Amino acid sequence: MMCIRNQGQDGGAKVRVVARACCRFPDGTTRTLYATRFSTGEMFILTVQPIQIGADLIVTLWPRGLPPLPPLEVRVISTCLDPAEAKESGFVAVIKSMDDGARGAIKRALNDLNLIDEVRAARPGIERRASPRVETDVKAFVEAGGARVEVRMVNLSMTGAFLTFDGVELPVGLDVGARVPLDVLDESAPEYVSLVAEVVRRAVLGARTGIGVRFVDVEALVAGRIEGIMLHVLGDLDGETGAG
Amino acid sequence: MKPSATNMDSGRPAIRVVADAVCDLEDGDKRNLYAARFSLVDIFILAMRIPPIGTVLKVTLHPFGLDPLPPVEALVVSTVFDPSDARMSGFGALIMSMDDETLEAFESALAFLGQDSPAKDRVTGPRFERRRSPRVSADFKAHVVFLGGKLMARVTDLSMTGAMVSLDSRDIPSNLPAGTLVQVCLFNEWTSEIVSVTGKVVRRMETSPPAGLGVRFVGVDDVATAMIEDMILRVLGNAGEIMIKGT
Repeated sequence: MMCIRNQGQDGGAKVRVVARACCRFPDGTTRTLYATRFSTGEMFILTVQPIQIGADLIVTLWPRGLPPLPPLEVRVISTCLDPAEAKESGFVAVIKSMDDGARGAIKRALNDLNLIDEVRAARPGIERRASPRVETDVKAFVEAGGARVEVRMVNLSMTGAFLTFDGVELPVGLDVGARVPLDVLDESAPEYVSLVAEVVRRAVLGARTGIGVRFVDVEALVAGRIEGIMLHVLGDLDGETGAG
Repeated sequence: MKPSATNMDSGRPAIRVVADAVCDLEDGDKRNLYAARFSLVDIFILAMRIPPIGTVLKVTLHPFGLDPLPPVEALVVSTVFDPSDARMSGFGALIMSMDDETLEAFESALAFLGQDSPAKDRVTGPRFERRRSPRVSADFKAHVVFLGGKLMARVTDLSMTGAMVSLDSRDIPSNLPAGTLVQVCLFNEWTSEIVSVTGKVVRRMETSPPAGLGVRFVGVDDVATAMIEDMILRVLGNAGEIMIKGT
């Protein structure tokens, strides 16, 4: 092994690298980076170049002294590029899909490296969603079968929502794939935010029925309004005064 | 006012918001967001549309129950957009500069809100960040080529955007003023490769030997970019062993 003279900033505070990480980016480029931790849920990879949040990558980990692990589809959920702290620069990526073979290989590598499989309790092992969502209880109207139907929006993300209806039968015109106008009440304004929603799934929830929708062609202004609703819910902002 | 909402994300408690954060982005976009915390050094702002790392924005904080604070320039250094936890989504921004009046306004607001002790921040001093790229202390063999000749040197500090070059000689040639274009050739001791990049002298340091040059890289191609990043990461992670074992 070579003698490594170089030291990190401030006299040698270093991070522990546990694997080489060959990363293939959406634009087809490949970069060899280094992972300081990995688990069956996520990994942290060092880099000193900006990485786009939400980017989907293929990562092949080469744990130190071990054979490579199967390539993993991951999504970047957190990035850091702090000019004052090089050793904290990098990104967290969550695993989007993984078969039993890959899971077993990761567990064996962790065991061989005496590492713990740290998976956050809040994370459901494999992450398939692209956008965080919040639980809401917001009034909305959907146009279906020529009628304007009141619904409750029970959760919301930047990319879609889940709407519930009274009764066990869905109104006509809400088959999967249908695109319908949706007006969501933003009580903080108060006014309705108008969107186009595409039905992506239908569900029966006890005495209620519901549809999952994704938003179609969302303009920047509307995206800002959706973001505002989500942040109000998250921040428990009732009655707070500030810039408005 | 807020929407009729449970204030819960999958049963988790809502987060504490301490201020409205009016953000003016470089592209002219103005966004009304919320700060979950702030200090004399940095701000964490909740958002669902995350600006890219490295974005500079003007932030005006309106702490709840207080007058707005003076606007500050801030640099986005971290981003979070976690599909499994909306409460974490947002970005961290370092405050890039702050005059005395602004500093006092921030200290007063922090005291009112009972946030981090201003006194503690005072001890270490606010860290106003002007650099854009993290750097590592290093010791790479190098040489600097310029129109007047070639100088043997060592690179003692390296980032993606520049380097501090310590010359083997006591003096800096007079025909190497700030603004001169130079070629910096760095030797990667792990791979025995030489990466050559064009740079501009931005600073001359002659006060204490050995003499040094601050060099900002210009026109670095993709190959050199990858090689420089690799050298930085190896310094950070002492990762030479991985390449030597050559899996």
